[in-house]
Amino acid sequence: MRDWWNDMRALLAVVVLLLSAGSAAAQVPAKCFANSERWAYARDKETLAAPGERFLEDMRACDPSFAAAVVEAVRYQIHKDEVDKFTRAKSYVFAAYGIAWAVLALSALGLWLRQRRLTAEIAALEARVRAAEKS
Amino acid sequence: MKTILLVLCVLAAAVGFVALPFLVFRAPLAYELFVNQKIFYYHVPASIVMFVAVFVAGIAGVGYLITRKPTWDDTAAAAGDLVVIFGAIMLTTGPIWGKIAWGVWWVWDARLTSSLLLWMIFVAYALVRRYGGPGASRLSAGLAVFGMADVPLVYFAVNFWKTQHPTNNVIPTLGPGMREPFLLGIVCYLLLFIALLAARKAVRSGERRLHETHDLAADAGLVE
Repeated sequence: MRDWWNDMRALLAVVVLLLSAGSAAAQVPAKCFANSERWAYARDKETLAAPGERFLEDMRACDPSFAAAVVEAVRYQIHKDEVDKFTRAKSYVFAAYGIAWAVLALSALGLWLRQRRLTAEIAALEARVRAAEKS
Repeated sequence: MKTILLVLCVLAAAVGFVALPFLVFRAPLAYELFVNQKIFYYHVPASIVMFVAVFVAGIAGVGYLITRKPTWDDTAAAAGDLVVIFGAIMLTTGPIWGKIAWGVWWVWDARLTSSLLLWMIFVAYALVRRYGGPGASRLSAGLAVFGMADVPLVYFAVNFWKTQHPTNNVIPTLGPGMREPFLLGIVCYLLLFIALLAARKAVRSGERRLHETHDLAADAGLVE
């Protein structure tokens, strides 16, 4: 009889523990992210960033340090993306400037050479005409 | 003439190599476009000056068709060549910007296609002048007028059709620090345009003088 009573007490303790753990597990998400429908994106009414901001707000209310960790990870990712973009775009910008100035410089050089050649040709022809007139 | 040309070149060089890069470097970075947006300060002034060159070529072409004075023809020829030069700058810097902003070098949207068409009209103009033979001046004047009619189509293409190219609202909405380098870019390219126009006109008059001297030499039996 005593053994049976001890067994029942142990079983009761296990049931109480399981029930309290279950209710605690059920309570965490309900407390943290109780209104997940808030994160839905209303395309016609708001910007794309708006639902993200509501999600972050809920995450901060749930666990501020976890929210800070997520923001930090995103910030690092953005920084990395921007550095990559800057490095790539910088070379394109220099190429564009180089081409613009090269086209102008080549055109100016071509004009100068053509003018020089023309002046020399005119001078040579005029000298021949003058010499012919004298003789 | 030579002194004016020299002053113009020095001014253009001072603006283009000293003031403009300084202001472009200091200009704030645009949201999303980042450093790539700085191509704008060379691309858009080149496009504006190309339009100016088209109008100069077109108006001088009309002047030549009415009066048949060689000075109109020289101006039209010089401006026509400059359309090709400034158009080449616009058509190379634009796709470089597009590669970063859109991920592709070229899209066949209305603004880009009509700009390419305008440039090709003036490439044809230059070819007609070079290889057209007698009557090339009149034919090329007609082409310049045709090219001038294409300018409104290029400018308003972004309003008439849905295009990937940014709209004409970009310039009035430029942020603080962006307006100055943009305006200086236009001043720099306009100075270069005037200097190159004067230099090309001088070359054209040199070519005319060479022809006249050649005719004199031919009359004297010195050349064939």
